[in-house]
Amino acid sequence: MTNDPAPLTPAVFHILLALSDGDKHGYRIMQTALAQSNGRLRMGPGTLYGSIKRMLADGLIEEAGERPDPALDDERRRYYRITAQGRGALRAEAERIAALAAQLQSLHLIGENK
Amino acid sequence: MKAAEGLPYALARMCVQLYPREFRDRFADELLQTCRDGMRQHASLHFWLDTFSDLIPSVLREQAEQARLNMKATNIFKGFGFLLIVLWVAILAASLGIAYLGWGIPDPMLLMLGESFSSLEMALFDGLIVFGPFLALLAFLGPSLRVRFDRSQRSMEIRVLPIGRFSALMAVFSGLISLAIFAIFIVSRM
Repeated sequence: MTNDPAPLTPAVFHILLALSDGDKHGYRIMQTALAQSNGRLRMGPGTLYGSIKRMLADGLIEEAGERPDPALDDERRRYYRITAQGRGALRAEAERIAALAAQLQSLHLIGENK
Repeated sequence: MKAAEGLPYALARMCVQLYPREFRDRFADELLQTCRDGMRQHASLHFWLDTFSDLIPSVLREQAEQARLNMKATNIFKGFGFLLIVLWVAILAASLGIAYLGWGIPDPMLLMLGESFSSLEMALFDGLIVFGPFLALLAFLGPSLRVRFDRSQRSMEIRVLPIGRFSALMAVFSGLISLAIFAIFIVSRM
């Protein structure tokens, strides 16, 4: 039996990745995830907040206490921050993807110009 | 709602009302704020189609998850206990009513087992009458009991976690009936 954590869903992975360089509110997370995935992951608000709910419960993210610039921001927005546990899960997922990519490369399935 | 936010936003607000209450209380404002943010940048039909095609499955997912949580084992145990007690009280009331008040209702045993029944069915029916309240007591208390064995100390710890008022009342009721049945059994043997 392996102790490896289960792979993260694309939404959870991209939310963690979006938060890895600083606190963000919901819409900013959606925009960052879209940019990170080269436009492939178009996350809607339902998927975003459903994932945020589960990630808060799992301790992967937390609500950020302070707002970057309260004067310029709508108070209905809440900012989220990645936790140490979330960073660990992100690192584990990145390593899993890297190992998979290396395996695919060794099978000549990626990394070659056709 | 501002008039400028228009019909799609009003529909999104309605959609958000369909989420389970707990989700709505925590995320509705933020979710609608995210819709407004998106609307400011892409006020197009495509944006709203994307939003609704995401919101509707998300509402169904959250409702399904809520239903799953409501169906957790504790509630199944409580439901089983409640069913047992209701059945037991109904059988007792019907039997006493027929025997002492001349109620013209079918005998509950014949109603449940039919005119011809096997000895196993009879034993199960008797078991329900004798052990039903005790099983109900276990069903109400069981999910709140935590038993811990400490092998090094050779000890056992039993803790009763806080339980709801309904479960507590039902547990006391079931317990009293069980004690009464036990007392009748002891007295009849003397």
